Amino acid sequence: MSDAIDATAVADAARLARLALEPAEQQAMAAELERVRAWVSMLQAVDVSDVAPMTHPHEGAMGLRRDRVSSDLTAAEALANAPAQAEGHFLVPRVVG
Amino acid sequence: MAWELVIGLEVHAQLRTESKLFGPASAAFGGAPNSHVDAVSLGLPGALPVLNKEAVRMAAIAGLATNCEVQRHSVFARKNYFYPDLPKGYQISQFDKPICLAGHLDIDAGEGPRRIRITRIHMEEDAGKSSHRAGGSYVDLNRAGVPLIEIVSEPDLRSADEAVAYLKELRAILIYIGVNDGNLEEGSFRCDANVSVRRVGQTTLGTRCEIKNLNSFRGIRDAIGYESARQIRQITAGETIIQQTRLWDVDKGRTAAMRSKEQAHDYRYFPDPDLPPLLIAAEDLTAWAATIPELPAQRRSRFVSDLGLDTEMARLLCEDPETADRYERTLGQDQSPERARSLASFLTGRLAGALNKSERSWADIDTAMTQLAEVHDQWRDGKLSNKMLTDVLVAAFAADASFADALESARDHTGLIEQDDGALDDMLAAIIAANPGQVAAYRSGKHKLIGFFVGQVMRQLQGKANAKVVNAKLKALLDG
Repeated sequence: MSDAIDATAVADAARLARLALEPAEQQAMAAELERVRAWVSMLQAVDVSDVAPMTHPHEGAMGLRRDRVSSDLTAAEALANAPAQAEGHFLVPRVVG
Repeated sequence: MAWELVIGLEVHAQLRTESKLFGPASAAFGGAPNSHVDAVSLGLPGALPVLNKEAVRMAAIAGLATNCEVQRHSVFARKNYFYPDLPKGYQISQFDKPICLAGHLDIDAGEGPRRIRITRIHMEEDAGKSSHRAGGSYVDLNRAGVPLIEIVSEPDLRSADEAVAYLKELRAILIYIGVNDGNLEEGSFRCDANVSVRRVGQTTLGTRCEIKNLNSFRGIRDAIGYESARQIRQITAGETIIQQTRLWDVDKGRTAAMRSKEQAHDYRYFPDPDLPPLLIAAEDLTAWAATIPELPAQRRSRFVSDLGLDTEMARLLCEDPETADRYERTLGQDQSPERARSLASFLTGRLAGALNKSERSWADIDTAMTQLAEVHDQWRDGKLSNKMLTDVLVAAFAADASFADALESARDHTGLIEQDDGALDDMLAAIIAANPGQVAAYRSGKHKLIGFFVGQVMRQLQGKANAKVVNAKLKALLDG
């Protein structure tokens, strides 16, 4: 990711994030994100040729869980925060055709 | 010039754990909407995923049973996309460090054994279910977070028949080792097919299309047939194939491209910061490997070499472990090839046929397999005629009582052929004396008339005669 962030890249990211940005907002966002990218890109200058790649900051392996059902959440509780619900379902604007 | 199909398959198989991959809610199929949920599968803020060890075991033995190298170190990654049935906004999957690599399956689609390479097996969580109705999309998160393995093959398959053979073998293996229920209709075993075509002799791959929405072996066969014909037609007409995802429409019998908007994927995978690397201890892997039972291929070859069954019968019996177990249980100690073959066709033919026409299930009749073996042996020994056997089965299947009781009372009612040679000889002599015309015709060369005489005997004895004995005796009388 050494390419500078421009309005096109912002439009693309906005589409993936389902954000509706006006052209002016895209321009402003591009400038802001480009400053962040440029700052972070200082890391690129560090010589890591003798450092092993790391996928996770913690040492060691993850803990595993026994295969046991123990949820005490009811459907009503699960739906309690939903802006809209119907027939026990989360109701969202129709997503296809 | 001839064309060649090139097919690679991606299979999603749901693991048969009790709870979900990263949370404690039930992983059972169905249930009232949103009743199998927990903080993790709802994507509630702050809820942290904790991996289910049993899912790891199942993924690992799926790898071992398909000749993969199980990776002692693997990593979970986030696959990012927005859809209402994916509450976190990403699916936890594995990307560049999956749990299994480099396996293979040997298949035989009728043209000799072929080895199909498996690229990788990775673990991931399922998404929820959306139903799109007039008022909006209804989201049920019961399935969200249910553990899956995705098994990716190399593009080594060359026909729809090979694809189906590969899928059936893979499905059987996963059922045998107890990690998947093999149910295509409920979607616990589902498949996407990457299909391309090329001229025979060409070594580079053609442009492929991915077909989704395949939920039966028939659909897979038809979809591959349709899609390959479509691609050949396009290329022959001078058009180019566009790489795209296409949906199989089972009603129209064709594939159609998804809208390009739905195809614009950029999943931006990155290692999930909530989950440290998965390390599998050597002793765990050894202990898990010891739990793998006899696999379908081994069982088939044992049925052929030890019991004398033909390949096709062995394949039929070994498609799922219950059928094979039932067969071996019913066979018991007397495993002579003649009896083994006869019992195999009895179970898969007459008995399965009678069962299909009835309201009963295999579970119903499993308690009576010892008696069924006796019935089979009596029929094989000529103590029950074909008609008597049919009568017993029909009566037993139709009765309301438990199958074991129903079978006993049907056997008592039908009885056995009493072999009274004297009485039979008298009856045969009488029938021959009463039909001089037929006898003369037979003796002048119309040997098919033996059937007429057998029919007379059977009618008088109401089907309770050993056809082999009657035939032999009649032949002796008529020819002599």
